[in-house]
Amino acid sequence: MLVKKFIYTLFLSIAISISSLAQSNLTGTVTDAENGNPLTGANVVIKELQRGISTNPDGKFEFENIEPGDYTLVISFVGYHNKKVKLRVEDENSQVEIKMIPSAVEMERVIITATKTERKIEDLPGQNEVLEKEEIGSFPATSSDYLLQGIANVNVNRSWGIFSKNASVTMRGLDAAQGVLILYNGVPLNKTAGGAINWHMISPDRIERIEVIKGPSSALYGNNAMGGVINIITKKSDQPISGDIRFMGGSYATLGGKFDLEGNQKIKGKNLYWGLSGFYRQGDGYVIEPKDVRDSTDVEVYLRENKVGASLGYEFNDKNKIEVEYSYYDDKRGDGRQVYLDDGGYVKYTTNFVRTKYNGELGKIKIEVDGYLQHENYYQFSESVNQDGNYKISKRDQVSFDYGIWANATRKFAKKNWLTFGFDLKQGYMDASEIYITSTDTLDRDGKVQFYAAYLQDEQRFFNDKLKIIAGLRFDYARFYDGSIYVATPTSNTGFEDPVSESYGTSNWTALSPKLAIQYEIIPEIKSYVSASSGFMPPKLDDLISTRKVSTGFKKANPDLQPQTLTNYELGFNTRPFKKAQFKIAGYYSIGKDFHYFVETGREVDGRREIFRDNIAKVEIIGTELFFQYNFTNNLIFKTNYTYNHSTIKEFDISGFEGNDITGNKIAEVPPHQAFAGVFWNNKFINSTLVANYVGEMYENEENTILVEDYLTVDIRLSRMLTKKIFFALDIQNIFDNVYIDKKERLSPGRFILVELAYKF
Amino acid sequence: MHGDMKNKAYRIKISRVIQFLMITSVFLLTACEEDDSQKYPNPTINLVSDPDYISSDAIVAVGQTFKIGIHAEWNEQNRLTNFIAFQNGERYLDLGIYKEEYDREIEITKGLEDTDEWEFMIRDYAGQWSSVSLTITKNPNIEYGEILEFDDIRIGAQNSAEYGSFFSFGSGNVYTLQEAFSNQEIVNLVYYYDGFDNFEENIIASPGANISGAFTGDYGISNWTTLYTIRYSAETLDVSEDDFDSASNDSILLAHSFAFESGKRKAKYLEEGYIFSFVTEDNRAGMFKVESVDGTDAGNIVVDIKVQK
Repeated sequence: MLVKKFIYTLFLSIAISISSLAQSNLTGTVTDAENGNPLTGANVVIKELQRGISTNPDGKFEFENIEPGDYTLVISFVGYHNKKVKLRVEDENSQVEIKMIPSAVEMERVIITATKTERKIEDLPGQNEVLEKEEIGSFPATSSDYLLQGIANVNVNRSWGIFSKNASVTMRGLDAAQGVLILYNGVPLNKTAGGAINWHMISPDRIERIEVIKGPSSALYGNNAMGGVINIITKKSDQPISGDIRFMGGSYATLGGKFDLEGNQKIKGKNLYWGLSGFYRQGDGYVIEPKDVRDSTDVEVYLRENKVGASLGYEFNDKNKIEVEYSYYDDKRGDGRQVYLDDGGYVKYTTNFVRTKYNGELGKIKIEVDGYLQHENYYQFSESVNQDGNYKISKRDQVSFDYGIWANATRKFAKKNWLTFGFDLKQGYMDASEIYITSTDTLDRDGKVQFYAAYLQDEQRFFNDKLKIIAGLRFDYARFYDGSIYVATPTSNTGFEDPVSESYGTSNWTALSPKLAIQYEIIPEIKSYVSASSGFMPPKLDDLISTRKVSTGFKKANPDLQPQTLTNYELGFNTRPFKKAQFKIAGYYSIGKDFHYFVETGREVDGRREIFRDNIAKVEIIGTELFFQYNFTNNLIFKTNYTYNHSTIKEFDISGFEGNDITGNKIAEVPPHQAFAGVFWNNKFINSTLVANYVGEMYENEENTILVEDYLTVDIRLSRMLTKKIFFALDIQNIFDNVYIDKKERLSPGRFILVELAYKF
Repeated sequence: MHGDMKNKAYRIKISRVIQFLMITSVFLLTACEEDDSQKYPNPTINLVSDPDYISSDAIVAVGQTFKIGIHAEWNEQNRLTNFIAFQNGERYLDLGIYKEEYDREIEITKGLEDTDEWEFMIRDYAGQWSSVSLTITKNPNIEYGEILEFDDIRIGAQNSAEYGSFFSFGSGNVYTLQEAFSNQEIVNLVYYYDGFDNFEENIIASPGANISGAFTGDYGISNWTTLYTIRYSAETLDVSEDDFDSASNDSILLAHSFAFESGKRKAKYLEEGYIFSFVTEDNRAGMFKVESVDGTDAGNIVVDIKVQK
């Protein structure tokens, strides 16, 4: 019924927009006020008609069929101050010239995620970054996590390119187990079951902006925000109807298509905005096993994925609005091994995601309430032949389900004082089963967690805004319950000696996460800050309840696992040495306690060491990050950053366990050195981007006995509007075909070429 | 007129976009799961009737080796994926396969149990299964043979100054390398320690096990003219120390015996309590139990040995 109503509304909206067409045309050119260069991709909107368009490579735009009358044009472009132009359209065609005044570089940008209030980046103590829509479109990104490679101190690991089942994103010298909170339009995508974020669900073309908050942020965001927070905000249409259809093809027989259709209608003076999107991609892939160890069962890691999504928003008035979004994602990715079965081994994610958002005002209080639900079905099908020639087929079916509500309120108490408070409730469960088709083993395990949290934050400004202080405190309570494991008719395939039927007890955890950050403006061009903040990360359900074979041994569940915590002290400077340049530097010292590490029990299960995660390590991270950006012009931008992290294990308490004392070792999978450089050049002929990413060598294992070599990749993107409607892009990732070995000792895909053709309307 | 045409073109464009979206949505959303609820017959499994095989209940002497032939077929729908042989309810064999038909010959040596219930199960991809079983009873009328027993024999590693490294079943004595050189016709068993490449291996072998590198010099094994050979089980046996200690005839030795050719030349990674079976080149079955081990190249091992006369 709801779907019918929606389709009816959609058709009605389209009909309204069609009937409103008139006879005159309005054309114009948008240029840089300083040098006269045309601005490509500037957004031009007729406010009264809610019609919008982007400028072509010559900076030109054209609105057709405008009724004569008085109108307001609103022009926006990143790096320039927004401009409003009032004009009259006569019966004849009208023309207008618009000159845009450049703003300063990134420091002018606005960020919401850092404090849950809208603030300029330069007014916040910390190393925060924002990627805007235009920059996002400049990257040769085949998945949304790629966009984060250019952010200082963010480490993205997607070593098989689009054929990786997921990507790990880490920050500030922490490894993948310690985590970063990933938000999508303000709601968390991290799963209580564990496992990586499904980045494939978020199409780069749908992203409006990405906000990145570095360092522990649990004072506001609680669990998972130990390394930092990344908030991905998607587009909202301000035009009656617009969209595009894209087709792509590239290396390894990669083919795909996308569509986006969105609109914004006035219904009785209220805005109704909506969006529909779909995505399909397939590829034959490549063989990930290095040549010298391949056998006849090593095959290509193929890919098939699709996604559909719909969103709807309604603005009751300037202050109150409500949004709802649904998306469905489904994929199938070969794991590179095929013995007898047509598809070989593969993994498959099926994800249903729903979110709602309400923004409103209650007197002087601004309110935001987010609800979300994420249901993920992870299916893993494996076939293999072991050294003894014994054939094995197994399937794993795992459901993780998270839903919650997050309410936030902000009130301005005095001229320079804002108080933010809220609560956060979340429920998650995991239910996994493993069935062995070539033996009799069946395993079932499940468990649940609940989170309750409340927080308070105060922002104050003193001395004519030269001194800014942010203080925050959050209390989290979590409960693990209903955990159980059931194993029937086991064999050596699963490693269990006897059938198991066990229920785990209930565990409770609490965490108090404070933050204090102070910024002082030395001169308008130099701002310094100091901060102390803390983060915590509760155990994942998979570590609490899952006893199973893993690549490093036989992993035993630890239902007594406790949260790990991190305290960070930081000093930094954000400067604008001259008008077109920005330089940021930060140094930090972090101490982590009760870190989760694997310990050996001393038992062997089917020739594998028995291990489990426990709170046994104290870690220390000393790091620095540097960021520099220079805007030669608003169409030619150079960006670079460098990161150093010295992440070591200070204490490792394995008393009572087997295994080596790894005190003094480096944290595994954390590269001490990372660097990025990019040139973004838009001109009337072609928009071009060249980015280079260096990841230093790192240890693969906790014992620091296996090194993963460093690697450098250089990627380019060339794009332009061929006509008013046709867009073309060529992306080449890893242009020098540097095939490196990843931490799992598998090959990267080397050079990857993708051609994209889009029809925009 | 011009405006009408524009309107019409606009409507056509919208209509085409919506058509495309509907077709795409249908394409994306109509993926359906296979209906696997349909039941098919179970796979079939039979014992092969052939003079070489036992295919029904039988009486067999301890230590006697016999064969069972298996033939299984799929149900024309789901391939066979798992073959299991149970001996008295315990898994004797558990194999993953992927076949339409499966044939297997199993060679079994009768153990000490009075009866063995053998069950052979075939399972298919859908988890459906069939099984067939038979009972092998121990022949109670067989008289078991006498054995030689040697207790607490201390044998030195290759660099031991105190103890010799060679043992003779015939004399019951331990010999140094020089003594063994002079008695090579009766030397059966050798102990040495291999610390090469950080692998600490306590090894019991025999002169014919290609171990000349461990015993060199004028009396080194490479200069021997008689090299007696023993083959050992691949790993320690599932036999209790009490069962070993109480054995007074060759029944337990026969029950854990094997074809000489299928044995290993060395019994490796020896630790206290380990029990290995062996077969001599003149086809005598035997077993040894490790009482203690001092694992260095100058250390020693203490073993109890039982071997058919």
